[in-house]
Amino acid sequence: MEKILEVENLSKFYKDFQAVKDVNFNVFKGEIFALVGPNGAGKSTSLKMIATILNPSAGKIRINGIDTSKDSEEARKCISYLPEDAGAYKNLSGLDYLKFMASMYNDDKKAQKTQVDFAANLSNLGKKLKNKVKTYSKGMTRKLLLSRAIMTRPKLLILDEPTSGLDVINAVNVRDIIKNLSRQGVAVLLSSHNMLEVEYLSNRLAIIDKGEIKAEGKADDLKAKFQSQNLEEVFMKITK
Amino acid sequence: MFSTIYILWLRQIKRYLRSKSRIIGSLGQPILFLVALGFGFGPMYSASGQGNFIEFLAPGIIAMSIIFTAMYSGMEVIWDKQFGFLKETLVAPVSRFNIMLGRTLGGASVAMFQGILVLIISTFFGFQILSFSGLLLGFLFMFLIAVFFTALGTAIASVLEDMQGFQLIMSFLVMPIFFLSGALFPIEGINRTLYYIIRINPLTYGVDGLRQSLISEGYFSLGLDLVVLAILAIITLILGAKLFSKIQI
Ligand SMILES: Nc1ncnc2c1ncn2[C@@H]1O[C@H](COP(=O)(O)OP(=O)(O)OP(=O)(O)O)[C@@H](O)[C@H]1O
Ligand SMILES: [Mg+2]
Repeated sequence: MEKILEVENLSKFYKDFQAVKDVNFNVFKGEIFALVGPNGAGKSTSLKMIATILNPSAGKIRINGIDTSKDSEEARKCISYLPEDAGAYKNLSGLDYLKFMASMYNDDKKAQKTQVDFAANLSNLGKKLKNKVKTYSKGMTRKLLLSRAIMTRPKLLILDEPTSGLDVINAVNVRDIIKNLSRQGVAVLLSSHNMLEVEYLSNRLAIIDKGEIKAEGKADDLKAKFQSQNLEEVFMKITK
Repeated sequence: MFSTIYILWLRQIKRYLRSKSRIIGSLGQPILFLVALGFGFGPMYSASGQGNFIEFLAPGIIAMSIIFTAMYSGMEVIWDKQFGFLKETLVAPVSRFNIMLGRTLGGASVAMFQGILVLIISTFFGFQILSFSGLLLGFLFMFLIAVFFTALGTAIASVLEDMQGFQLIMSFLVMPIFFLSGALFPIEGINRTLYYIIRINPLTYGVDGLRQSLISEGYFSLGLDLVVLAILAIITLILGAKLFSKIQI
């Protein structure tokens, strides 16, 4: 299988505090890979480094074979990233936000429109898309940003807690969207602290705690290995 | 490639036009300066035989409104790091150099527009523009000042973590640059130490160039003003772009 993302011995120090310790994993084409762990485990820090907005202290990241420390601009052509605390200019309408972002990804007006229409539809915001972002609820904003991340059809989709702030129906809906994308060949790397969600959604996962990957594999294999009913149990056993 | 620059430029312009309170708010200070200093020191200035103080003062106040607007625009990067979609923009497959260039030119255009507003307002205080060609030359200086300070703001904002540093920069960098630039008083016959400080201040050449263009009076030659300011603007732009492309969030 084609490796879209390779992470080797990735580490990050914030001053003398090590937030990410020697992390290794790969994500293949068409695969959903999840980083699960408690608050402060180092998930967002890892994703930021992979998304090229934070420099690793050590280690290597290759996206589609491109070393991000050598040619980050080329690597960025393959990715799309949803930050955990993504904002949008409050005075901009949802539609203008989508148009702006689409124009960053395409020079071609037609391709821009296709993407905007796709995201507009996906966001389910209907007429409210023309309203300012500051009038949206948290979940509405999240769906707008998520739709934006997906619309550019990346090879590698990086989602930092894609369902945070969403109600049950929307969360289920978003999970289905992500599954669909992976079926179409997109490699998805996501983070979550919801073990049950990850169990349902991911093909493979890594449990990360205090910056270290404690276990990695398919959910079923991990459950078997640690003789647990579900991932939460696995997690408790690993971290105790 | 140019489309990125244009899109980011347009984004900054739209953002400015949407914030009416910012436009009006940032006119308050220049007007206050024109009223207080213009009417306050005017009689003293003319009494000492140096002519019309508003003529002298207006270019300085125009420069002031440009540098404050430009610094603010540049430093919006900090704000965007925290609340805007700078993260997404930085992950987009476009050159960060172009992103910075677009943002900076946008911020500089806004600052220049603000300067033009102040120029118009100063005419109500009796400021007279000598010639059309002088006005065009004045626009060039306004633009260079605007580019220099927007790029400077961007460079600083790229390495600052949060808004807390903003006040510090304003008090200990921008204010001294403004007050020690010959914007408010003539350089002739000034204290030696102060004179050297003023001479190494980039804004000095901006204010002087603006004065040369608009009222045909000044301390240095127009050519020197133009060369110094243009070179500094380009250097700052390159430095700003370098720092911007290394932003860590
Ligand atoms: N800018 C920063 N400066 C210093 N320390 C930081 C910084 N960002 C994160 N950290 C620290 O690094 C560790 C990992 O943070 P990170 O945001 O990656 O966690 P996370 O797994 O995403 O948690 P959460 O589930 O709460 O989002 C935490 O201990 C955090 O305090
Ligand atoms: Mg996080």
